[in-house]
Amino acid sequence: MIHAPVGCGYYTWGTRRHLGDVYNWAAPGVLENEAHHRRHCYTTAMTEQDIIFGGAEKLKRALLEAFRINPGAQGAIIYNTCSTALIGDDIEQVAREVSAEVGKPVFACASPGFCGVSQSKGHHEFNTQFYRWLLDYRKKHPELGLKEEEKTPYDVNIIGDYNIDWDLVPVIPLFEKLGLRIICVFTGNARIRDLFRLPDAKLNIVHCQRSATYIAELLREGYEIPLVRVSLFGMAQTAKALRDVAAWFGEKEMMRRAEEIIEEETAAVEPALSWYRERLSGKRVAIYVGAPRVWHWVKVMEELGMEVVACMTTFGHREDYEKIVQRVKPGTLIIDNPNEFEIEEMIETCRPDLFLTGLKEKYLIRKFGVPTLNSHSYEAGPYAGFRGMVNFARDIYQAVCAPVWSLARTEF
Amino acid sequence: MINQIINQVSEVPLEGITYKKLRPGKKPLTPEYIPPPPELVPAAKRAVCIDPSRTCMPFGAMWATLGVHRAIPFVQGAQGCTTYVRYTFSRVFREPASIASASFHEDAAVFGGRKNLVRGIRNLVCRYKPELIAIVTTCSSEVIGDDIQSFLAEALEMMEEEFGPEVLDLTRFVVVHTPSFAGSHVEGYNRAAKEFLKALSRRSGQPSEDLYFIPGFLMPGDLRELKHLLELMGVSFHVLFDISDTLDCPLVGMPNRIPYYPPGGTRVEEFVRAGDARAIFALSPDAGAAGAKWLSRRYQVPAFVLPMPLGVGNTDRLLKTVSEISGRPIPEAVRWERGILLDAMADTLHYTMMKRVALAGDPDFVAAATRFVCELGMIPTYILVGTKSASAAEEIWKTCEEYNCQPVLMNGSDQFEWEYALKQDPPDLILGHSRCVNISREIRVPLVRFGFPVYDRIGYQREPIVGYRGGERFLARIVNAILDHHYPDDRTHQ
Repeated sequence: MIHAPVGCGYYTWGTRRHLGDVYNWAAPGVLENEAHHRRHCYTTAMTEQDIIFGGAEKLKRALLEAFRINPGAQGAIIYNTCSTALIGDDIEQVAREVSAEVGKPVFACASPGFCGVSQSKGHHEFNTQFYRWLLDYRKKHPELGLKEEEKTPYDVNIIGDYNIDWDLVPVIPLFEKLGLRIICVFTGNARIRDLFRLPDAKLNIVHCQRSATYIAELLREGYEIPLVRVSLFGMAQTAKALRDVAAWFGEKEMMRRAEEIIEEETAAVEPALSWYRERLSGKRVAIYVGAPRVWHWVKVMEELGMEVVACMTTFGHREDYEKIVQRVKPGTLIIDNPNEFEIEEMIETCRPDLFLTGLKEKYLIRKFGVPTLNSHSYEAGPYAGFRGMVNFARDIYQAVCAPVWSLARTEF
Repeated sequence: MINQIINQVSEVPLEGITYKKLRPGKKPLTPEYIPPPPELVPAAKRAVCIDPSRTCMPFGAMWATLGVHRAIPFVQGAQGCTTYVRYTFSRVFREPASIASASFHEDAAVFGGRKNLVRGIRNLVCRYKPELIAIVTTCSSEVIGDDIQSFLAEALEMMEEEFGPEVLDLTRFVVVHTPSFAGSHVEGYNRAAKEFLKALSRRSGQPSEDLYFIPGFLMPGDLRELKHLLELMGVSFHVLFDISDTLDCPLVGMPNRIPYYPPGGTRVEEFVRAGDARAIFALSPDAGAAGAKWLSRRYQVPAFVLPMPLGVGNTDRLLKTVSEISGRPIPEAVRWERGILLDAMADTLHYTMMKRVALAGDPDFVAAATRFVCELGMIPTYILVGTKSASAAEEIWKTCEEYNCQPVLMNGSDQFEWEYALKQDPPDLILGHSRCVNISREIRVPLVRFGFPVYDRIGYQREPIVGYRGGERFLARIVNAILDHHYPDDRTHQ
């Protein structure tokens, strides 16, 4: 429930490819939605009157109506925005009242746009606010956690994987084959009931180390759940992730299984990968994505024989840049939070053959004759895990080797 | 488990994991369909808005600005107000859209956005050297109560001191107040149309024969078609907010000069001379009429607020008005194009007559399209006007009276109400934007995309729907969708 004027709800509706497999019915016998995006947008669509007289009442009514329209809903999250935060609507109070009335969890996330530098602050806020609320709610509803007899020594959470274009599909079986049980993914294709089980895991496997490390660290402090930081992009990093997780459990059998999986998966993808490596070798690449992916992907590009010439992030923190600097060759250009002007200068100076970036920049860079790849939502994912790597390589090959670039360079 | 299928493939082929191989599962939320409580279906009876068919006011103002040569919108708000709008432009046009942000943080919320504007404008002017900056406000700056005019004066003073007085000639400024809670993107465009003319237009005392046009949310292909018609008419004209060569630009070889500016757009000079115009036309009554009316009040330029020239009647109306005001007869070439459209309508009437059609979108698009589908002998059933509009309602009811039909008009409602009606009473065809794809699939009724936004098909922005030729293309899309969906192959050839 986006508590805001209409635009904030509109733009966040069905845009990034955070996919899921739970659907409402559109009609008897017909499930909603061909794609696996969020199908509906619920918003209070605040008007001038609401801004003047306050919107908390409207929010409460709206949320109660939303629950009546969706009896299958297991809970709700309210987000406030610039305008509703400035007028001081008490969304936490509304959340408590509605939750008591419908008997389902309602979490209020304070997320006004001006509250931070970028979406990175939003991730941080959600992590801490959600964790605090989760503890409180579990205390009142202890039945929501796993019962002692349901727990196993191999229960783990994956933290910070958002199932972008089904990234979890090639990733989850790797850990399952290792003998682990994934009880929650924070948050990719997750259910609210799974989120309540976050504190019941034995280990947190942390993928995105900017947006979700916060909650993993809170779980470590609060529940003494250790964490293992992994990267699930590329062959070597995914292999290392499996080895690190197995080593944490310290069981010989699991470590043996990890090697088996690595060997099997490598054999499955190596023929395709070597085909792409041959064609991509020596190409120059610039990377501009969310912070951890930059240093995750430096290695991936090297596995494809490509040379990283520039790295940029919008919301990298100091530690992200330290990791980037460790991984790139000397002489690589690194820009913090570049604007378009700086990106254009980078293109002129570094002359990359490929620019890994998001939707907003990709059309600009193409005007300079440089191929791009949508690296936020992917062109056709999944890109994670061993098998996703072939998709990644394929899309890079398609971008770099399309005939259009040489046609555009032909004198006419 | 969905993953099993993929992991059964022992060797991953070159094409990787295709969507066909992914086969992600679908899990129902409830064991079976539960209809919504009937009293909550009409949007007017609800506090919650479900699936709006409109977006925020700053978006419209930014759209207008991007149709001006070397113009950059400067958004006085938090970064999301810029980022999401840029996503939307990229998605719809597959083109770059440069928009600057004041990047509000907590201190701006507490102390106001003065510093952000003053520094932001300075940076923008010295790095991009734009010919025009449109300062577009947002919910947050309006709630805080930023005094934009005085901030701007301070910014200019500071730049004059730093760079010398020449800097003041470099860039023109327009301020558009667009608090999103006071209206939708349609109103944002409307306000921008007025503010641009108010800030820039002058009267030199030497009246010209030029006709001015404010197009509204027409796409590049539509604008080119409009210009083509006006060229055939032999009139001298200016299209304001002309996005045809700013949001649809060629890949011409490289490298481009930096910073990248698209080659086209209405020149500032054209706005300046608007006060001398022979007449001004608003082709979208809800998106642009405010500009035309202001010019008429201020400089007594005759203003014509007409329905979008979509279909026979609406295009006739525009051209007749142009002909009357300019004194130029309608040329044979235009009659020929009109004849081709009529010919296509005659050839396809058995496919279109009595077909029931539901429409959704922005008021100006929907009002004009309602007339066109009526001209095709189709029966409009449920009409969703995403932004509440008195003028669109009036135009729709006038059309329906002429063509004797009684659709259900949902003025300013949301898609939830409209979709529910479609599920109960499916039409033969849907005319709507890309957000209507799901309902089209769920009730298995073909969708013909038009209006804003269309982001899931290629080439839409270049294919016109206005004018006679555009009408013919639009008709072809409508008929082909009907043929694909409703006719077996043996009934399509003769």
